[in-house]
Amino acid sequence: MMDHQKEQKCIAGVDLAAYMYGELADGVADSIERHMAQCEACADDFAGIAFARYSVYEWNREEFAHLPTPDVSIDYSSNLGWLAALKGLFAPAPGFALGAAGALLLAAFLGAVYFLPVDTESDLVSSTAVPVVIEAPVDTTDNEPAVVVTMPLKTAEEESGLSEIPSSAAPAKPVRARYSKPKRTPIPVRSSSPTPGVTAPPAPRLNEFEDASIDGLRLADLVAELESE
Amino acid sequence: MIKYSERTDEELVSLAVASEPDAFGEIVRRWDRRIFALCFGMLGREDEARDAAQETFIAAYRSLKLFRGEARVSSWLHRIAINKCLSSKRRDRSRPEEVLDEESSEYARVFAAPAGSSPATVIEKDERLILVRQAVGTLPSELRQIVVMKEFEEMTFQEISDTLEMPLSTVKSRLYTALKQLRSKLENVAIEVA
Repeated sequence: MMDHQKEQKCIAGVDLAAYMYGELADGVADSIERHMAQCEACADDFAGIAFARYSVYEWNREEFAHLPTPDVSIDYSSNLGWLAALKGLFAPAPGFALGAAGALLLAAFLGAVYFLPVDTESDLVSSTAVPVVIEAPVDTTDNEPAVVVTMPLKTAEEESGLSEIPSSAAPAKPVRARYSKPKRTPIPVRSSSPTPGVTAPPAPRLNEFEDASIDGLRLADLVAELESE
Repeated sequence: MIKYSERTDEELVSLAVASEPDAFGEIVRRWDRRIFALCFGMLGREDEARDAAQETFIAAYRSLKLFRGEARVSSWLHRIAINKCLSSKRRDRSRPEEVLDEESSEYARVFAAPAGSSPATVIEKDERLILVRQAVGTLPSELRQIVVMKEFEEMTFQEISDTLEMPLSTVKSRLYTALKQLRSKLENVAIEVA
């Protein structure tokens, strides 16, 4: 019974080892020292592990400690990719990285707002563009053949005369959207599918479009010349 | 006449008490290394441990007549050594650090020279190192790993626990088990050699 009580009070071996390596709190270490000064079993146990420890310590000191340790230096940064290098750059200040990312996003948004064109009206015109037919009314008195010109909606360039209007029947092409609103000339047009019962106003003859100051060949003159021949 | 090396510790103490000081010299030869190891385990410095071991044997010789044979001589020496180490610790705590540093360097000069000077000592040390290497080599790998990390890498228990990803208590337990096994192997070998 006495031995059992004494054994219960003895120090655990793991605590003896921790004490030997100086890895116990001061209060615990003091209690262990007081106990070992009185307890023969714990003193012998401690002496045993201390002997084993010193044997290994001496082995290390005599055979290994004097050996020079190789100075290994590896430049890990040289093998990093650009993304990892970027991360390493911002690693010391992650807040700065967030700020930089936010600034980049803001700059991209502002650039999109200022440099990308936004014209909903022209987009609407282009999306609803329908080829129209300009039909000259048949003048039975002059026996001139009726000229029917099928053309797409005119663009600003075409309206301003920078591009030629095809003079013969051409396949309808979709009108390309432009960034500026095209200027419309009030040309009376009618749809290619006219509504029955509704009479369209008389379309001007082609010759009426031509500038009188241009000394070009007029269609009426050409027809008259052919008839005379 | 029986040689001192063939007598037990208790017989040697009796002879030393009976005015044969050389018998106590045999006790010192048998136990000086272990007492020094114990002092090193408690103090953590070789110079201080050597001083404490020397004080231990001086105190034991002076109190030979008080030894009544109720305990083993080794246990008696262990307790004297522990008390000397505790006294040394108390002295260190009460002294200024400058004095300690001066004394430490002085001890280092005094105790650095004699160790391993004679050929016999060199041979004995070489044999001892071979035995230790063999004993460590026969440890199970999980125990040997802890010993190497603790003694060679000088890692703390917490660092070993973090490195090996095992509980702190397991690390302590394995180191204690390893040291116990090493002690057993080294003592058996020492007996066989003797």
